Amino acid sequence: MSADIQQYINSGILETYILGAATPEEEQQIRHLQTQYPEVKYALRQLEIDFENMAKSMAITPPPVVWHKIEAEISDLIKHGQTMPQNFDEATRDNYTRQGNGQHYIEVEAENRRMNIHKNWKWIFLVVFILSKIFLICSIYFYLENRHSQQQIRELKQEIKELEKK
Amino acid sequence: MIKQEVLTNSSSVIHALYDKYAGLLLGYIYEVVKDREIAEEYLVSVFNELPEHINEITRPGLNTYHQMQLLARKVLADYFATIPVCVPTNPEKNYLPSHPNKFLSGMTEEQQLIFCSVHYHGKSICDLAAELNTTETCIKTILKQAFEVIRRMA
Repeated sequence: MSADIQQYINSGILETYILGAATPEEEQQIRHLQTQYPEVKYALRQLEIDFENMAKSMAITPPPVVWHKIEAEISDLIKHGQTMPQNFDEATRDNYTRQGNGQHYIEVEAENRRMNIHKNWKWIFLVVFILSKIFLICSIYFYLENRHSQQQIRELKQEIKELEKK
Repeated sequence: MIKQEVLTNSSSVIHALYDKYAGLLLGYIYEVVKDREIAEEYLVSVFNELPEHINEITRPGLNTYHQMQLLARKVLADYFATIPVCVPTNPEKNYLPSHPNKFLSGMTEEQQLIFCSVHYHGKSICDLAAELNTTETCIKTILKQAFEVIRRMA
């Protein structure tokens, strides 16, 4: 037995592991060492026996209702197991695989209220906007001009009528 | 998620584990929570967690009770967080189990405090060393001595 391993066993690290207080790194190290060194494995088995002996001396028999609760929970899991969420596994992936072209996609139905257009349309819309404003101004101008002309025509007609009476 | 057939098969295994270890676990949990009703609820929680860990717990070469005790410790993690800091000079020694225990009776006060703080209060070695103003090496050495007492008293 190497002195280092004996020192490791005597350090109290195995007792810490048995009590569940070892760090994940220590746990990993102990699992590795017990496969390499039978001394570590033997020491651990002995400590597990000691630990269980102590637990036996402090055991309390649970009332039957405790098992009934556990049994009901397990039965519930068995009955409703299928309604629980499933992991995204290979079988699930196949449902979302487009057959033929090798692309993978997930079918999503969504309503998009926006559309994408080319940047050049920005200038076209600007020109259309400016032209529409010019057209509007011209329309107002010609409307007023026309009204003014109509007024003049009415006045002229009136004058002609008055001249004819004379 | 556990497959239905695994659950169905493990149901009988869980019953066998319950028959053998429920009493041991309830004794431990009771000394942690100091209340019979709460302890029973935690025991139910431990066994409800069991189907997810059944393969790991029943793996050949591992001590089943030790694995189940570690699972109980995980389930009790939220309770451990509510336990206040250890007081070494506590005259009432309320860190000790409420039921008389020949294994703990054979330990020195220091060994009792360290063992109970880790086992029943879920303290980590690092936190305990800080609380008691000592080193982790020292805590581990005392734990080793405590286990030597347990072996001697068996």
